[in-house]
Amino acid sequence: MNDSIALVGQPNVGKSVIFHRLTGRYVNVANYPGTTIEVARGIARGLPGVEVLDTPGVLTLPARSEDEQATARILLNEKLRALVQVGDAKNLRRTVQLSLLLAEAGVPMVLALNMMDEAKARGMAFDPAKLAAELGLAVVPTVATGNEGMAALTQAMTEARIPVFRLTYADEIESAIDDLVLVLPAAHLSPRVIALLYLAGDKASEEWLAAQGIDLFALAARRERLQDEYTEPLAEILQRARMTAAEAIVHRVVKNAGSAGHGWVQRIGQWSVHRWLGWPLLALVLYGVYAFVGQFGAKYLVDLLEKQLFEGVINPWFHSLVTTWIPIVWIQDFLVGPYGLWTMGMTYALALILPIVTTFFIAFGILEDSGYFARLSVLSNRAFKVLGLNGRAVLPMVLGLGCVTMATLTTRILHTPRERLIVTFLLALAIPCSAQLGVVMGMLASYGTGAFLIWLGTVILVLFTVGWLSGKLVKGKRIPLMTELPPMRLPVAGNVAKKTWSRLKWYLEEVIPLFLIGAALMFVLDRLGFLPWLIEAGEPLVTGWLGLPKEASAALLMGFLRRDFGATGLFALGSALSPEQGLVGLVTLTIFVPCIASTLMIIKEQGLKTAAIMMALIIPLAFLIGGLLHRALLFVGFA
Amino acid sequence: MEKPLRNFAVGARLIVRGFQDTLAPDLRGHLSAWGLTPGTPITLLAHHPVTRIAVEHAELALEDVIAQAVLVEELHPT
Repeated sequence: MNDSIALVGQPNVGKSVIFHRLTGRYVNVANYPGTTIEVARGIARGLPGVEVLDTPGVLTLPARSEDEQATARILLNEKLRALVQVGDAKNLRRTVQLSLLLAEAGVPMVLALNMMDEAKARGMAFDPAKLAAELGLAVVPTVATGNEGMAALTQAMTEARIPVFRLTYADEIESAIDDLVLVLPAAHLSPRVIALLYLAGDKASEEWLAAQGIDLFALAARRERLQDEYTEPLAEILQRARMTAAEAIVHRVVKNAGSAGHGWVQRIGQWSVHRWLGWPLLALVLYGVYAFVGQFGAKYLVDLLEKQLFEGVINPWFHSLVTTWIPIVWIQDFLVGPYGLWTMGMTYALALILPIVTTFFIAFGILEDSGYFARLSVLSNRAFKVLGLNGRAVLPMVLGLGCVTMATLTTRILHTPRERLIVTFLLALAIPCSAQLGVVMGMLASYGTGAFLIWLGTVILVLFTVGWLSGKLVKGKRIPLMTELPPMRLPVAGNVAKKTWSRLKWYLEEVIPLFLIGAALMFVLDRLGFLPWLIEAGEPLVTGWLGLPKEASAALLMGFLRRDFGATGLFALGSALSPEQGLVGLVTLTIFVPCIASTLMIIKEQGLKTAAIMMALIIPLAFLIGGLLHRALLFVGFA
Repeated sequence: MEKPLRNFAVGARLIVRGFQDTLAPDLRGHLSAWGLTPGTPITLLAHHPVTRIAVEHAELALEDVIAQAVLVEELHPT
């Protein structure tokens, strides 16, 4: 007996919530497709020793994007004890279409019909038992968010049987399946399903077959022979066959199809994508985020923590503690000196960055949980068209304002390598993460609104110009927008809290070590005399070209570690910088290379060569823009 | 009589009949993955800023070039 159970289903049907209910483990959940981009594993609470796998959503198989392929690979490679399809009860036709394929996989299976509350609220009525009889498997109605039906689901998982179901396709397809089944190797999945996936052109199955040493030429020839019988692609023929069968089943099972939701939350959802109303609503949302993150987080909380708590209480106390008990001066400096671990590293990380990042992730979580982001992709589609992208790119871009590393991973929800490459590059180039944004806002606030608008205008100009050029230069064609808009829902406080916490944890684990390493590195460089040397060496570029005081070289050096760390370096220079110099420094650092963690993520996702090319473009570009801005500001007499 | 989706008024109840040949096979594959295959009943929700339709209880947003390539017929003529 094998001990893993995979949760499989279409995007945005509540797989991750069910995973959390079953295992107690929390993976980030959101009200838009593509939240789960990697497979998560956890031990089932009700079934000791049984591992549950949460997989990225698949609309149907064959997989179309990289996250979908991860699911196909799980099905092919994991020896599963059972398969739990999580389906959306209100979109039964689509759910059953996927069941018709999975039910033939030769793996014990349960169908969890989730979101029963939403189906009922829309007046839908159907008989789950009748559906179970039609599909030959256990069907469990659930409301995962309300913890309903979970005990029944656990019970059904222990008793799961291989479904007694077979969909008969057209004769020529059946004959091709029979031919393929004869040569397919023994596998965890039934040869019939592997044949169906292969005929539909599924990449993961092709890779898997190649890895098993199967002669793909013979298989491909058989597939081509079948394709010759049709004018449409085989994937579509197979899909339509399942859709037609699903339609017939749903017709027999459903008593009342219900009607569209008309609550006030749904109405806001409609307004948010309305051609006119959508814009004022977006302005309102942005203002709300600014008030919460920019005013409350970056001003009020930072002031409270940095000025009053750290500078007023903790730092003087820690300083006297260190100087009293540690007689060695260089260790004192290492801990509480200008580049000290505590004074620079921990104070920046905890007093400056933490409040900003926390408020940003709360605001982000609320918008995400409501389903607003998917709607934003409709509204922003025209702007992204200029970049050769479509509105779906807004999701990683907005997430990038929280954390560029996380956002780089999320580019997997985009459909083509071309889109992923352009979005990754733009994230690395011109999207400041919340930590950096907070420091930038803090500095710009003292320079006035004009400075803020110049900073914003320059960054947007660079983003669109470079994006437009990338759109022209990167090979491949633009994919027009097509996306699903999940129902608008009232955000749930518990979800937002869990999401904020899991993101904060991820972020802090990344940020604090880097801030400490950064502070230690700066201390060592300073001690070895490298910093003064670098400040001299960088003078022509930093002072001559950018017009900054030579000490700003240190901030730019810190920017290599993290852009926000560099920005905090500028912040620390304080009144040594004129507003013009501060502005030039901030624009240069915003466009500068992303943090080390993001760079590693880019290497992981795009390869070393692409990452190196990106860095080679970004560094000179940052200095070029900074220098040009310096000259432009001098020209217009900005003081 | 089947016509492109863009030709109908908002609120129309329609049935998908097919797709223009101009629609790239991969895009067509996406539509079919969402259940938008010939014979599927849909409701037209909006034309701007992009075309929005309801398929069962799911809402899809399609850019003009795709909406133009979806051929539909009125289900209940108004």
